[in-house]
Amino acid sequence: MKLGFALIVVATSTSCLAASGSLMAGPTLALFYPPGGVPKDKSAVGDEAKARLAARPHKALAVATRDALDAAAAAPQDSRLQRRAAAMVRALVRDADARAQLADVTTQTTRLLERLVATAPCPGLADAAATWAALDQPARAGDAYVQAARRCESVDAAIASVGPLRSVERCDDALATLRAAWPRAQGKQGIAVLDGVARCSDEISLRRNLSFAPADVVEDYFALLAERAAQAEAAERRAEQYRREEAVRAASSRCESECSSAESSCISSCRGDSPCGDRCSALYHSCRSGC
Amino acid sequence: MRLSIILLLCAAPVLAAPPTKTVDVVAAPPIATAPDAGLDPDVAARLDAAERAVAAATRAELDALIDRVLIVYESDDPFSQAQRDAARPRSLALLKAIGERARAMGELTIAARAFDARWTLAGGQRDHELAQVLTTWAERDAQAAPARALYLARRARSADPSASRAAELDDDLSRNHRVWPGRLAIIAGIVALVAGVYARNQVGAIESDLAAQARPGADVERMLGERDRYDALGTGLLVAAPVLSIGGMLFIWSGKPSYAPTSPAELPAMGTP
Repeated sequence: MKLGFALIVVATSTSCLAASGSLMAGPTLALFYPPGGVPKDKSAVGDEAKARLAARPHKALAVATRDALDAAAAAPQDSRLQRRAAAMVRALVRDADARAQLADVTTQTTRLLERLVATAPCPGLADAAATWAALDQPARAGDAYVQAARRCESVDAAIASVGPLRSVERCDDALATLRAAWPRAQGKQGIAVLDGVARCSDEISLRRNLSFAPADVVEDYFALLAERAAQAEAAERRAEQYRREEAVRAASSRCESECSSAESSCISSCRGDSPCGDRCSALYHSCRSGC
Repeated sequence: MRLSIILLLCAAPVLAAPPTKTVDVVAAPPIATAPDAGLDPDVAARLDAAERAVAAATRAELDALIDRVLIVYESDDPFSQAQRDAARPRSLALLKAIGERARAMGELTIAARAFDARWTLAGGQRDHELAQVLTTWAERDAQAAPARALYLARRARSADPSASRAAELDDDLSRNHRVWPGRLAIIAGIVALVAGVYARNQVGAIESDLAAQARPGADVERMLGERDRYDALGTGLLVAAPVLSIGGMLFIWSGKPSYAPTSPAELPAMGTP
C-alpha cells in the first residue's frame, strides 16, 4: 500500500516537473530574445533632404551662369570671361531644370554674344555659333559659323555650319562655305568637307556639288563612299543575321518549353500508369525533335 | 554599413576626377576653365558679398548666404569645378563665420547646415563645433522626433567620435528601453509557475495524506483549510505565470524602436562636391 502511494507521488511529481518544464521553455527562451534596438549601421537621408540635394545642382548652375553673364558684362574686354559665360550658357541649356530658373537667358546671351563677336570675332564667332545652336536657333548658329569660316578662315567652322544650315534648308549657303574653305582643308579636314557636301546633296547633285575638288579626289571620295556603304551593308547584314539567329533560338526554346509542359500534363493525367507514362515520354521526344 | 557609405560619400573630400583644365569649342581654341591666378571675378564677388553680409545678416539671409557660398561646389559646370580648390579656404572660413553667427542667434538648424557644409568641404576632418550643434539639436528633438534625433546624434558622432553626449544619445535612442522590465516580468512569470506547481503539488499531497490515514476531525479541518489556501494560491500563480511571461514578452516587443534614423530636410548640407 505504502509502496503504491510512494509510486503515485513520484509519478505525479515527475509529470508536474515535466509539465512545468515545458511551460517554462517559452518564457525562458524569451529571456534571450534579442532586445531589438536600431541597428548601428542604419541611417538614411530623408525624402525632403533628397529632394533638396537633387534640386541644388540645378539651382547652383543657374546662379553660377547668371553670375558669369554679369561678370562678362562688367568686363567686356575680357574675352575669356565672355567665352566662359557663353560656355556656361551652353551647359545651362543642357539642364532643363536649371534653364527654367533663368527665364531671361536668351536676352542676356544675345547681348553677350554681340559683345563677344564685336570684341573678339575670332574665336568669338565660333563660340557664338555653338551657343546659338545650343539655344536651338540654327539659322543664327549657321550664320555665325559661316562668318567664322570666312573671317577666321576656319575650315572647322565651315564644316560645322552644315548641320544648322541644313536643318533650316539653307544647304546652298553651306555648300558655298565649304567650297570656299576647301583650299585650306588639310588632312582629314578634306574628307570632312566632302562629307559636309555629301550631307547637303542627293545622289544626283553630289557629283556636281563636288565639282570644286580635283577629279582624282572626287573619284577617291566616291570610292570611299562605296567602301563605307559596303561596310554599312555588311554591318546591317550581320545585325540582321544576329536578329534572325536570336529569333530562331527564342522560337526553339519556346517550342521545347511547350513540349516539356505538354509532357508534364500528359504524365500527370496518367496517374502512375507506366505504359501511359512511356507514351508521354515518346510523345515528348517526337515533339522536341520537331523543334 | 549603409551609414558609413552615406557619411563617406557626404564627407569625402574632393576625390572625384580632377577638373578639366579647358573646355573645347568647335572651330575655336579651348577655353581655360580657371583664370591664371585666383578666382574668376563672379566667384570672388560671391565670397566678398557673403563676407560683408555675414556680421549683420538675419536668419533668412544667413540661410541664403550658405547657398551662395556652396554654389561653386554644387554647380556641375567645369568652370565652377575648376575653382573649388582655390575657393576652399575662404569658403571654409565663411561657413565657420556663418555657423558661429547662427549659433549666437540661437538658429540651430542654420548653424548645423553651415558647420555640416564646412565639415564636408574639409574632407570629414574632426569637427567639434558641428558635433556640439548636432547634439544640441538632437537633444531638442529627441522626444518629438526620435528618428531625426538619432540621425543627428550619429552624424555628430561621425563628426567628432569623442563626443560623449552624442554617443549617449545615440545609444539611448537606439536602445529598447523595455528590455529589463520585460525580462523581469518574464522571470516573475517563471517564478510564479514554479511556485504555482509547488502549491498544486502540496494540494495533492494533503489530499493523499488525508486519504491515506484516519485523523481527528480538528486535524482534518485544519488540513482541509490548508489545502484550500494552497489550492487558491497555486491556481492564482498558475494563472498569473503565463500572463506575466507573455506580458513581459509583449512589453519587450512593444519597446522596439519603430523608427530608423532619418535626416532632417536641412542635412546633409550638401552632396559630394
